[in-house]
Amino acid sequence: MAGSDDIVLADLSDEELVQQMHDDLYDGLKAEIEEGVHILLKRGWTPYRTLTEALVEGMRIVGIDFRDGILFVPEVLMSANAMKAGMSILRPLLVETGAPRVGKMVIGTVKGDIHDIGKNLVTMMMEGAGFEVIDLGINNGVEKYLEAIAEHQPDILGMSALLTTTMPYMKVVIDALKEKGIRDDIVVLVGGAPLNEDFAKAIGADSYCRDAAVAVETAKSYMMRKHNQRAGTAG
Amino acid sequence: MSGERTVVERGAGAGERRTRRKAEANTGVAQPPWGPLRNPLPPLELLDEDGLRRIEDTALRVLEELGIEFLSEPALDVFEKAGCKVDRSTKLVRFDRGMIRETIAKAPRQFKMHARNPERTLTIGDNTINVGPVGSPPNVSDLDRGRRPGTFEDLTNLIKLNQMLTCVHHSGGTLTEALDLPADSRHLDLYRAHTYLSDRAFIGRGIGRERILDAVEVICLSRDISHEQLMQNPSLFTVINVNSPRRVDKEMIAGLMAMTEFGQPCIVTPFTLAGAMSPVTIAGALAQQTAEGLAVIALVQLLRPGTPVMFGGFTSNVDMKSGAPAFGTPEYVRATIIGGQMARRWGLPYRSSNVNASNCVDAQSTHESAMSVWACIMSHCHFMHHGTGWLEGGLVASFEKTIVDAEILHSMRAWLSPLDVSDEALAFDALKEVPPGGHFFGATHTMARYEHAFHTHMIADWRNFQSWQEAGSLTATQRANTVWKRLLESYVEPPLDQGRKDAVDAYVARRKVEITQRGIL
Ligand code: B1M
Repeated sequence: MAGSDDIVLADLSDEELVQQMHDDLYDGLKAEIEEGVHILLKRGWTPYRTLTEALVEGMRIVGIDFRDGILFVPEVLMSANAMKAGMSILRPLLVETGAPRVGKMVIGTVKGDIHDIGKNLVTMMMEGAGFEVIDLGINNGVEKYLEAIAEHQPDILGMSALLTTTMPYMKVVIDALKEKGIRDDIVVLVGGAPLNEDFAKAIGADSYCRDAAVAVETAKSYMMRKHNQRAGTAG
Repeated sequence: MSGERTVVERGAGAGERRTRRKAEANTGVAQPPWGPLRNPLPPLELLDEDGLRRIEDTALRVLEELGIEFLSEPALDVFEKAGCKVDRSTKLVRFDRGMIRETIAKAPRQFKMHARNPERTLTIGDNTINVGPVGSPPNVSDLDRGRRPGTFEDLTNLIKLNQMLTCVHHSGGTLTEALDLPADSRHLDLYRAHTYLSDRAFIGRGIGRERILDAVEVICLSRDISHEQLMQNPSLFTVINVNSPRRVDKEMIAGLMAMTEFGQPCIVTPFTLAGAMSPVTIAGALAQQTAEGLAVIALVQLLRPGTPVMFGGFTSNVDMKSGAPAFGTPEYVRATIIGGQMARRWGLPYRSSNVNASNCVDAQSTHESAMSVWACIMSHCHFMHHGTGWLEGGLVASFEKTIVDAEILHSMRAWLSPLDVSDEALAFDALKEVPPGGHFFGATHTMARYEHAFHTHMIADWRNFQSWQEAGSLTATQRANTVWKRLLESYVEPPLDQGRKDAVDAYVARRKVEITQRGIL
């Protein structure tokens, strides 16, 4: 435990504070993270630097320990909630300052499928990594996905299916995106126990994610590519 | 050796024995004849009366105060008519405990499950533990071809293999998904396969109404019976899962309503994975399981009082570090046994499962399965779903695991069968015949019964190390590989009248055209 009760965050140097925030994220201390974010901003840190050095780096450690079976799901959930709280302070500021955005994802289980434990874990980890996630819940038809995409303009569409009978519906959604002419504007990630790489390819998804950690890695790498492309065009 | 002991006939006897034993060696397998698995011991009362009452009381509080969500207007209508508090906006139904008791009491304590072969009729109740094979994995695996998506060929092979096993009583449902067939009409091929390849009862797919109606028709055609006769003779199971916590979805309710309309028994099974879909404590998860199960069973009894139904228990824990389900754990064993106590308390037949979460046929899968089977036996579960072949938390049907499970089940049946304490079995004469320090291999008593004196195993190997090594150092899993292949090779299709086959085929063909044209409901 970080013993944060005894620590006055405002008294810490930048370096100590960032270290402390990594610990606080690990411990899932929401109020402390909010306070830390405010302090760094007051000290003149840019929102982007605060995000990457204090929050994303802290959650990277959480992610590693989750992957390696050191942390329990409820602990990661607490960490992700703390991260989310920090993010909600930073998000408007990031937009204002034109910082590259971490990314936005719309996710839901497909029509006919109510298995959502895996999808919930993915949502948790994505939020933990700083992504904004719009969770459509279970049993989503094409229209639901399309509406959410139109409304939220996400970078990523995540679909989850656990049934062999509902898996094919992912293709229905992807085909609808093509029909609307928006397929290339969005990265489609799919997951769920019965899926595999080949299936994802066959239905025209961008990637298959075998678990929540891989979903985060994959999403990050697509966002990186997107930023690089933008930088490329701008230059 | 004197001429007086002609136990073995000369000449012809040797030939006969050689042929018979070689044949046995070829099918791999000397199995006991098909028959029920019964536990003569009283079911285990793991939890005392006070504990049970506390779980039950919490369940009834859940039903009264929190309610269960039914995502189906017709179901809400039924509950409203029965006097339940129905909130149309939230779809939550709250139940009075008196009403629940009265309604559940209408369900029979015991019933018969009929099959196309009358000899395969099962008693669902008392101390009979009926075994069915694995259900619904999207993948299959065997040592030769590894893990792969299931196909119709795999499905039929699994049905045949289980038909060959004398410790399996029921043909199951989707032993693996036939992913090479169209999803909307796959169930028709499934029903046809069960009907042709097995003479035992099977499980229909409870997702939506039409898949159940198709099962009803296929059964009636294959037995040449009317709907009324089917109603009198329950012949079809389906598993109705609750989308725990406290939600029952539309498709499942549609399936349940169709089943009930035809008087066929649903296996109502809340899937209370503690930590994820239920409280992280087993007592809490069991309270939830009880509440959810009773609510859905009440729907059956309100729709058609007296319809046979089963109370399914599927409480286990999840790995709190990944969210993945765990099975065959001490938590699972407790939940299974106490679930059985609760089912008896409500006078309902009980279902449980032989499950594990291992990724291959190894010590973990065998250990977890053995734990699960013990729990099923001790709780007197009347239907052991996933009894053979389940692997990877239900994602894989394994051919080798099918044999390992059959080995466990055969052994269970053998030790639970009555011990012979007749004069012959007490063998005083044999004791008299063999002098102190002698041996019994050649005693008259031994000679008369050695062949069937002990339970025969399918995969156990008791040779000494050197002999085992010389024979290739095969592990039990590798030996199971040989056994399932031999059993499949010696499979014989149970006879079915050609006219009935034609009727089933015609129905399946017609329905496939319909489904292609307008989809499935
Ligand atoms: C970016 O997008 C992404 C990225 C990554 C993504 C992603 C999306 N989605 C997932 N991932 C990935 O990341 C996650 C975290 O690491 C991972 O998610 P997973 O979901 O794989 O892993 C979770 C952490 C833990 N895993 C799970 O939660 C699933 C476990 C199993 C046992 C399972 C459960 C729990 C349930 N079930 Co269902 N269930 C099974 C499952 C068998 C199994 N072992 O997988 C399976 C999938 N179920 C099955 C069945 C048959 C059914 N189930 C049903 C119901 C249920 C419950 C409601 C009881 C419950 C779900 C509760 C819930 N709220 O989710 C029914 C269908 C309901 C419906 N319409 O959807 C019903 C039809 C049973 C019935 N007769 O009622 C089988 C499927 C067979 C098939 N045809 O494919 C099954 C394989 C079990 C079996 N052998 O019967 C990755 O896959």
